[in-house]
Amino acid sequence: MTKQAALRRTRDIAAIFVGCFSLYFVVLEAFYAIPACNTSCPMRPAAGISPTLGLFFGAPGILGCSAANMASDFIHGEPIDMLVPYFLVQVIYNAIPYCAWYFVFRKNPNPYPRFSSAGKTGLFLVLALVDSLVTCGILTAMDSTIAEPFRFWSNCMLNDMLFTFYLGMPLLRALEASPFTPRPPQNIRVPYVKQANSMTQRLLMIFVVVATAVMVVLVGATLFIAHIPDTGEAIRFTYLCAAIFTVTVLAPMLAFMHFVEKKITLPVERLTESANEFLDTLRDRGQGAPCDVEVCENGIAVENEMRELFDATNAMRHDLLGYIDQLNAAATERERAATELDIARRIQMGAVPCDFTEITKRFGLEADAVMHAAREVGGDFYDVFQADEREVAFVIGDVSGKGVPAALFMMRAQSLIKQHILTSANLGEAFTRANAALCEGNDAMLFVTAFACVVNAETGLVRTVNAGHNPPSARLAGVRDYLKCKPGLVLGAMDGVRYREAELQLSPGDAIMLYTDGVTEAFNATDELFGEQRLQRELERCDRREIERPAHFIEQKVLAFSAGVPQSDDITALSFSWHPYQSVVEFPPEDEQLDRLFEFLKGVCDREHATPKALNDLMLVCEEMFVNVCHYGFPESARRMPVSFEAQVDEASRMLTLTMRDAGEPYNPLEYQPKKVVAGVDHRIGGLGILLMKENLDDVSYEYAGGRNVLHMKKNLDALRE
Amino acid sequence: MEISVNKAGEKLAVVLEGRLDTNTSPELESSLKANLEGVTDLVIDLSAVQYVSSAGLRVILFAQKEMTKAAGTLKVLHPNDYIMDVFEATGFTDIIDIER
Repeated sequence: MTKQAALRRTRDIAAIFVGCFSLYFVVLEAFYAIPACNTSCPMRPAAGISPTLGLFFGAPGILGCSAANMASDFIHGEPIDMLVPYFLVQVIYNAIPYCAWYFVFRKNPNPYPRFSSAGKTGLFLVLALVDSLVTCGILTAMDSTIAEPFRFWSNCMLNDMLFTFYLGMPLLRALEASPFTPRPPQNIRVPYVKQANSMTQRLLMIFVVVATAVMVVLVGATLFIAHIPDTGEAIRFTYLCAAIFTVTVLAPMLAFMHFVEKKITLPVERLTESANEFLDTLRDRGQGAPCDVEVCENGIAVENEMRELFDATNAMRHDLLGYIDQLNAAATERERAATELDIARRIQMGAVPCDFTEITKRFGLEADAVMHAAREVGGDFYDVFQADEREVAFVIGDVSGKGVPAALFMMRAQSLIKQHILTSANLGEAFTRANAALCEGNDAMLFVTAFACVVNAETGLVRTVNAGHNPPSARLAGVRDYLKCKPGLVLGAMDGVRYREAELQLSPGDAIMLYTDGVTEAFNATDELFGEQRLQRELERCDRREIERPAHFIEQKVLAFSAGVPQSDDITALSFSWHPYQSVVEFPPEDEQLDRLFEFLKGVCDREHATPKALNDLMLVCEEMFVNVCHYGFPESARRMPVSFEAQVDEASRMLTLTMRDAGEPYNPLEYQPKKVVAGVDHRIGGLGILLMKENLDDVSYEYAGGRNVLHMKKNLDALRE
Repeated sequence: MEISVNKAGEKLAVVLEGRLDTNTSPELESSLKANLEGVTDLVIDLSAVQYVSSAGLRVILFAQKEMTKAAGTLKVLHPNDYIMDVFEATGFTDIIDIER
């Protein structure tokens, strides 16, 4: 023990000694001063508090009270040679409860003095009795001058016993509630834990208080009726009545309490304790520690209704643990499934192509695709792959159902269709074979709608085949409409079905969009369908605005339309447009040919990876020049000859040379001096256009050669805005 | 090109979608001619227009002149970067009220 702690301990012991000394002394002297307490039967309440102080505080308490008694003896003129013996008697008197208590409870988990059960209370009563009997006996024997020894002994004993019990109990209760802690003998190692007032203790307190009150009333009444004139005799009479009452009433009552305790209040306290600890038990169990689930029944007898309660509690706990285990297992399973679904989704997304730059570069086909699954994995698919030397296949499919089964079937369907397109003579045969393969072993009775088309990037000829899928939307020569194609039966439904290929011809700039019914059958919050007509309108809008990624555009429109409603089906769209590389084109000199001119310019710019600014500038310039020729190049009577455009690119300088040739009236646009607009002045349309031409070209030159106006326009393909 | 016209008393709001070139600007011109009666507050919204050529500029100039005659105002809204370049190159930024 450190010096600090030793110092503190000494200080505590001294404080207790002084405190007990003072309290005892004060009480003792106070009652010495009252005449009524000093008759033939003396009233000494101090005798009740010193055993309790000794019981609680141990040695310093015992010695403190004994020393105070000795001091009092000295003051009242007790002979010197008797002081020490009387001191020793006091020590014995104060120490008996302390020693006896800790001896009885030395093996108990809670050996500290506490009236937490009827048994302990009864023991204290017995200790009070024995202590008084013995000590008073010794005192009587020590004093040979006593006239009536028996009377002396019985007065002393009754006084000590009654005050020890009836003052000691409340005093101990007060000490327990106070900040002080009891001091056990050295062999007690269990640390003191301040406990709350238990149900048993409360009941006990009530019983004792009520019993004491009844006793006071009865004894008082008896005293009044008996009317004993001598105070000493009256006190002795009171003591006798109280003692009889204690033995005949309190003792059996304690026995009854003990019975109630064992059968009712202790089991209830145990149940409460166990309930509070149950959460900790669950936590320990969760961490793998072994533990008792059932309520501990040590030291209590559980019978009848208590037995039922305990059994019900234990059964509930077992059930609870069972459910917890089930829940944990389910949660683990769900997590595992979610992880697997996540991986499945990535596999699925990886199986469909999304980067089309190669296709654009090699075949002049601009493509865009989206696939938005309703659940983690979907039943839609699309595919884009090279089918032959100059041919590219675009496929879209929709498996019946959603989730994992549809996803698995979808991957099978996708790979079978691709395989058979690559190895069959035509698309009809490809689908016929794919269907046969899909019907094989299709126990789950799934089926898939599919549409496939193969584009010849050189000629613009498109071959198509349909198996029950939505007809695609096409923009042909600037006009948007749905393709008319025979529906055909879904794949995987019936073996032996034969499919037939159809054809259509694209012009440069034409586009086709494939989609699944997740687009047209998307619902909004008011149960409206997105529908084919709305899709048509949105695609027209998309065309007008020359949107670069039509599939993403449509996906955004569908998602905005069905916002707030949980997605019910996969949303998939695949679009492509044909921009064959042409280095020379020729148009009749009519305004309406402007779209074809723009298409030509777009094709050149796409192929050469020109900036959007370069394309915009070129469009402006070419429009002006071409329209100028259309409007002014041919007088009324003249034959209107075609205008040609030729593109040549110098890779090193990234310079495009665009040459326009026309057989109209000789006209050098460079001679015109254009001016910016000024309010109030009328401008020839040609003037503004020529201003734009000069602003937006890096170089321009004119010559008249071979009966043609020849205009060389140079533009840097990497032009950026200033 | 798609033209949406919203007339409310003296206010006329015209929203265009698509390209404004030689082929489509006559549609705009006829639409304006049909709706400019009694209008003193004309707004042309170009947010959904990706391209304007000199043919388009001519129609806008026509609209400006009409509004001047009627002692009204013309506002051109939200041209994109490339259209803005055209306005600047041709001096339209000086004579037309353009709001980006």
